[in-house]
Amino acid sequence: MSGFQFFFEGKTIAAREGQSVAAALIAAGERCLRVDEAGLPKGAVCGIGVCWECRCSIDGSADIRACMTLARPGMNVRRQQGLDPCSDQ
Amino acid sequence: MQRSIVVVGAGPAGLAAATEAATRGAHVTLLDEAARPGGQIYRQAHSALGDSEYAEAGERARKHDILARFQSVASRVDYRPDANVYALFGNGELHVAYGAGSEVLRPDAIVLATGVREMAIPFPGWTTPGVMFAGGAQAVLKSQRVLPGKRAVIAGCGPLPIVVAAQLLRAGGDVAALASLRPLREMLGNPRALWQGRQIFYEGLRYLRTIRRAGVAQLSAHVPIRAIGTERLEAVVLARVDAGGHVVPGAEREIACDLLAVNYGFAANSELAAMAGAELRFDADRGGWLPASDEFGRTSISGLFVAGDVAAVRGALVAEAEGQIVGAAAAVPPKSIGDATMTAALRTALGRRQRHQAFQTAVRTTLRVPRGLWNLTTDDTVVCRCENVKLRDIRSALDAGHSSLNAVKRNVRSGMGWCGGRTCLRAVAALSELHAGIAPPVIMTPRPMVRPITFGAVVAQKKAVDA
Amino acid sequence: MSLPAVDVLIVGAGAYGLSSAWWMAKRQSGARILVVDEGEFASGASGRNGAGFRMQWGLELNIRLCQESLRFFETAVDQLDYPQGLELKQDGYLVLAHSDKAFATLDSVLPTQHRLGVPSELLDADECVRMVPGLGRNRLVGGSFCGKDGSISPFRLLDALLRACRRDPNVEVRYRTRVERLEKSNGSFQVSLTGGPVEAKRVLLCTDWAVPQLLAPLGAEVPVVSLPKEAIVTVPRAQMVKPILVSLEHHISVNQVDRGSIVFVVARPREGTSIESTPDFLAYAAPKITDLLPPMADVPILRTWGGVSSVTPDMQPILGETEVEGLYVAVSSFRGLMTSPAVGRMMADLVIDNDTNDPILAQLGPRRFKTGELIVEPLLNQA
Repeated sequence: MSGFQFFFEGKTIAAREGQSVAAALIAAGERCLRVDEAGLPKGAVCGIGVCWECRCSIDGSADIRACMTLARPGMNVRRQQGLDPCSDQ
Repeated sequence: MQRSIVVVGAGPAGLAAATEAATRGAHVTLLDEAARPGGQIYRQAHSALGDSEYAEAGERARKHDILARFQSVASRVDYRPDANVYALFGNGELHVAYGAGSEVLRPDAIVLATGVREMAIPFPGWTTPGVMFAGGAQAVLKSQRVLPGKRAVIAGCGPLPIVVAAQLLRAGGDVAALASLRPLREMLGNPRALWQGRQIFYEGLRYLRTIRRAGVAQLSAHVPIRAIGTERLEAVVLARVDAGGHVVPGAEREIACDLLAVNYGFAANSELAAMAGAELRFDADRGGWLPASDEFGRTSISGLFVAGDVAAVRGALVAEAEGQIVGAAAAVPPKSIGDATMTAALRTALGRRQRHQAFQTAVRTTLRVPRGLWNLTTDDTVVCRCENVKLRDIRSALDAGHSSLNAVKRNVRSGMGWCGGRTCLRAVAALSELHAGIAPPVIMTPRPMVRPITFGAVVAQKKAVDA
Repeated sequence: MSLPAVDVLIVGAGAYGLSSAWWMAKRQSGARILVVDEGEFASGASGRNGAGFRMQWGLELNIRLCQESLRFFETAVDQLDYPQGLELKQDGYLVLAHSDKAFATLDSVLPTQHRLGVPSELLDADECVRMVPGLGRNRLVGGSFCGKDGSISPFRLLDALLRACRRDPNVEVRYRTRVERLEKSNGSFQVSLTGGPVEAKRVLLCTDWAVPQLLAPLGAEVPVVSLPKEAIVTVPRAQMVKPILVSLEHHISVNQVDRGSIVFVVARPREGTSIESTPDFLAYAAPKITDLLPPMADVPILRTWGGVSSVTPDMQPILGETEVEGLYVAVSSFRGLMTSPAVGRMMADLVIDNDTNDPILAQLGPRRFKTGELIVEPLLNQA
């Protein structure tokens, strides 16, 4: 299993085994991973799990750090808007 | 009776401490937040990706060696990756969560080798997706084999921006500009110190050669003053600053890019020590709030040690040597610390630490952030990203006479969000000093949790008397 | 050489201290009032609590204190001229009973509440769960609900009071100022403070559990001890719990505040005055919280902290003049924030106008401990 795909906001994203969700999204040209409560678009910043800016809803679970989570085939990643956890999977 | 040691952090200091303590026969538990050992500087890629070759050969060799040394005692170390050490109490209890469960440990000694995170200077547009910390961009590159951007501007101070720029280029990336706060020749002002760390210095020169050969615009005394873009970064405005860090008007340039990788130094991950009640000292150039410690890593709390950058930013080579020293100190009976036997056994490590600390004094000047640079943060700039607190809100609290980080926090909520102040606290402290003359800064009282943990994980807790 | 002089010295800049200062300044224009606090803004119990206010009590006096205070909270933005807002939430309080005995207690206090106009109603277990989906059914019998109860941001309230006080040139609020010594001579009080002494005609102690320390040298006493409690706040989440919950059995209160974070305050038998988070607190609280609200198992805890409230022999506030003329106390007995507007007004009546007619003051004065007229509040939750 070297190359595979997962989903982000309805789009298909290519990834390699061992890549984090954040890295795969960045490689695919995605930058906005979240929209915060003030409506500001946010993306990965620290890359090491400290800032929590990259948190997404992943397979129905809210607030998962994309930079600390390995991408897996078929994973469903959603961009959280404010406090909406996107748990309507 | 075998001593039990818990080491927190598997970077160079933690690996060296765990290796040394295990070699001396202690029962060692090594806890780390990441999935693989190495910390930040020796970050390992997932086995499926394989490690990159963008780093200098010397650094790759050091990484290989320290991991190999750890591997040689790995069967004697209880190594637990993906661990979240969320609290350390004054009674010696260390609380750690793993996924869906958690545990309480009470070892004979704890070595905190938790390293540093990057320090932020907020500026207009810095929350735009595409603006990253330089180390963060490097982490994506190193461990994920992904270019964190197509066209990058790198900025900041100290060695890290140089390293990141060169590594990005070697990976096939495009670096439009490298903006350094201070001229690199400043480091050359201490030739004796440079000689002590000549290998690192030569590695640095080779990184610079990569940058020069690629024709990257090198802008000395320039900083990013504005990031442009709404959904994503489109361009960065760089401006010249004077020696005091103030922007010189009329010398701005806008550069199109989709990645701004910036680093203005580091903040020590000292929350666990502070939470346990260890005495702290503030050193702006070496990590901010540092646990006060002696040459053997002893803090003001008996049985609590620190090693590596968390004790003061001095780089990976010092961290590794110090890790070995502190690992030994944690492993021996307390009254034997520093005795002739120990000093003799650690002669090499002690010497190595001294040599590399000497080199680091030359590097240290390049990490100094002039006070005036904090004027980059405008009233409209978000300072606390988690709680959307702007400088204007902080100044309003300061003007109302709230003169400590705790009081400011209670008033405007800076530091009360997801990251627990890790991203903004140094900035709030520096901005409070700049705008209201408050110094030295007393740390905002650190409380559990250092990182969030669910109620369910606490419920699933099992206690252990010893690690 | 005369000391700087004030009309009233208030010790403690929490909700009671600041509210009293504001009311006193309103009552007597030009009154020189000095409020001192050894800590910083909101560093005491007023800044550490769950921030709820409820009219659901059993005793008339407690209902009245909270009713008057609630009316103030509803109009505080205007009264204190604080357009930023106080994060006022009025989605009600649901007091939960997990035993027949507790449910009977809720039932027994309803007539008094209704007589005083409190719109409370009794709910069975199903109705409670309908109101708060996710509520655990384990041993749940029912609850009492009043839709007008709610919460306010303690920081916003204290900030509003502080700014309102400071708008008056005759009112001063000083933080990081300790009372080193309190003495009385020639009809006034000589107070040595950090930074210099002051002379005060009258002194009001609003330091809650710490009141006895200042009274002892003057030969006065009030019986109050510290009640340390701890709290937990979660990460912000979309609404999970609308009303504020109080569980009589678990000794826990739950408030999901404006930002989406859920604040739990937990009371358990403990001594001392530490505000530190104790090592065994989470292990104690987490099972109770997940029993009360099972969906919390998946919710991350962001932070814990501690605070120290007060408790008196009959668990009622102590308000009034001590044996020492001109020396007053206001002790909250774990309901400081929610009674602070009314108490501030009453202390202004007492200290400025020497008005002792309020029957509540008569009931809650320090003298009751000498005469043995203790009061029992049937509906008690310390969290």
